[in-house]
Amino acid sequence: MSSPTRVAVVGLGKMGIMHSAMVSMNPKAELVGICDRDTGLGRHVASMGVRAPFFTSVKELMESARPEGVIVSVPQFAHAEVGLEIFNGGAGILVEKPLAHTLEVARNMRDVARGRVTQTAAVAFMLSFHPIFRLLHEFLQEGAIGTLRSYEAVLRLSQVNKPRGGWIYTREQSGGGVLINSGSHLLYLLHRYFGMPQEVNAESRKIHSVDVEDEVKARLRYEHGFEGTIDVNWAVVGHPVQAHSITITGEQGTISASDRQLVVVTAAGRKLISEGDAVRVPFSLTPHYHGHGYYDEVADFVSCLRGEKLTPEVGFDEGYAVQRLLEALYRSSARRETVVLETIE
Amino acid sequence: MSTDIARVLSLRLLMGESPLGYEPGIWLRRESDWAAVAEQARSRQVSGVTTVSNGEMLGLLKRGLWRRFEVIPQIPNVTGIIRETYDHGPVGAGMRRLAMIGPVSAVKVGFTGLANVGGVLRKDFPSMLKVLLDLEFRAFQKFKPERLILSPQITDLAIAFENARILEIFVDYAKYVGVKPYAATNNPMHFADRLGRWGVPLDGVVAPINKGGYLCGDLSWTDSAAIRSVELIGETLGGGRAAEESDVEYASSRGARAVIMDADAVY
Repeated sequence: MSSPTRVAVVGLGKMGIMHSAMVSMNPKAELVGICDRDTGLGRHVASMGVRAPFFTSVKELMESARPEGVIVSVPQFAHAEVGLEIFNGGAGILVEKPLAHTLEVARNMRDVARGRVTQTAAVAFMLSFHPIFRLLHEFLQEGAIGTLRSYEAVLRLSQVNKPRGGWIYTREQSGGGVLINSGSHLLYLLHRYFGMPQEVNAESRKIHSVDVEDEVKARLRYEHGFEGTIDVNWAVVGHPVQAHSITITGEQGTISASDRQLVVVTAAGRKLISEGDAVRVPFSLTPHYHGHGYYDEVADFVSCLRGEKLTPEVGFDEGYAVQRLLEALYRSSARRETVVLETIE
Repeated sequence: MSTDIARVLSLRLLMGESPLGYEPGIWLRRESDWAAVAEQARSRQVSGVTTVSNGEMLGLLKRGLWRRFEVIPQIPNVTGIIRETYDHGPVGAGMRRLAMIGPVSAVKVGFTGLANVGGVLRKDFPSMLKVLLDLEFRAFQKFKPERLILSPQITDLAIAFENARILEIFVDYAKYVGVKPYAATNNPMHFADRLGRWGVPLDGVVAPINKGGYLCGDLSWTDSAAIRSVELIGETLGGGRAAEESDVEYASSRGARAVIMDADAVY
């Protein structure tokens, strides 16, 4: 058996702990370093039992621990700076979503990655590993409901019930509110299923937040008259865990997918598939929120680092495509006008 | 009711934490609904209820709705703590937890806190765990629990980081307060392996058991000596699918002495 792949984690918030656990449980990987500017967080994670050495700078991590791949779970405004150090250190990178906080920074990151074809560059849109949403993609590819007419995509989360502080709620640092921080998961799936729309029309509003939006509603128009709507809101009650649903209508039926179930209704009848029917989980810390997705995205990254797979499930090109969609929706909402995607490059 | 197996009801549905994903604001919001669930549960031979420490749940328990059921706490409520810390900050979250217990218990918790204050300030995980266990267990003390379950998030973190000390702290605490220690996990295949190597003296394990293999794999782990040496409680949910009587029978056939079901399975 070949030696385990050396993986490090930068950023030790809750996502950093999650990724550290997933690397630790991957039989093909070894956690060789953890890194954060906050030494208190380093002590905290070490006291959980993580034995990998702790570093306060990425440069030091790259030089001393010599990782083959690094998982980046710092706030998105720091992705570019940390990412460049990792690329320069010769390692592959799996960066938390979204790719960056602005279109320009995301474009720069994509361009850097394109120049480093031997280094894996992946974005952690973990819903891409979700069995129900993967199954939905398969049904669409098989033409299960005929020619597609429209879709409705909804995201609900009870996260904001009063004005909040911190980088997530500061537009300059996060790039926006519910759309970029939570809705980017949904946008990734929609882009994967339907490609890039031709034009979008969006409106947003603040409910409790001061600097960022809490709700976005938008219409996306595609070729041949196909169109869809999105409705994302993180200031509703009753959703302690982020919930996604996509309902697609075609000439021959309807498919509804949520985090737990997929229902196909056609003339042949109603077919129900639950998450439990669709997935076997190697290791999960959060079964109530797609724990297997976190395991699978790390496993996918490690497979790429080991050369077992050529490209990651979600690369920087796809991450940049999502960023274009985000930019179009934010621009449309700010200018109160339809935005054509061709104008955003 | 064909299977001779103890049945325990999970109250997590009201908190929106069921894998079935119901909206708590819509389903069973009224106390009369919960009274009906309790009645149904009794008629279906449910003997216990399990819940994390949550103000709403504790309120229901205190009003006597579930008087004739054994109360089995699951602590600490990791999801709740994260949410409350997010909503109210770390101090606010601590105060809300303190508000769930009486003044005498608060003083006792204060002693535990004092003994671990240095560790908590240093963000030392074992010290924080000791304080959290004490803070949350005191809220359940009036129900005289006989068994105490360590939350799966903590057990599974111990599994991931190969940290037996986390479980030892829990077992020591359970023995100190005079209850039997059980650990819940969502990764039973890995836990069976760790339990065999660690030799932590648990009385029981709570783990998913379902025919589809969701979170429980092929169930070969139920044959391990470590699992067979403790009481196994099966969680019968299958990832978005409500448990049926055949699921209870299946758990029993795999060696489970009891099952945990969501409220929708009896209502």
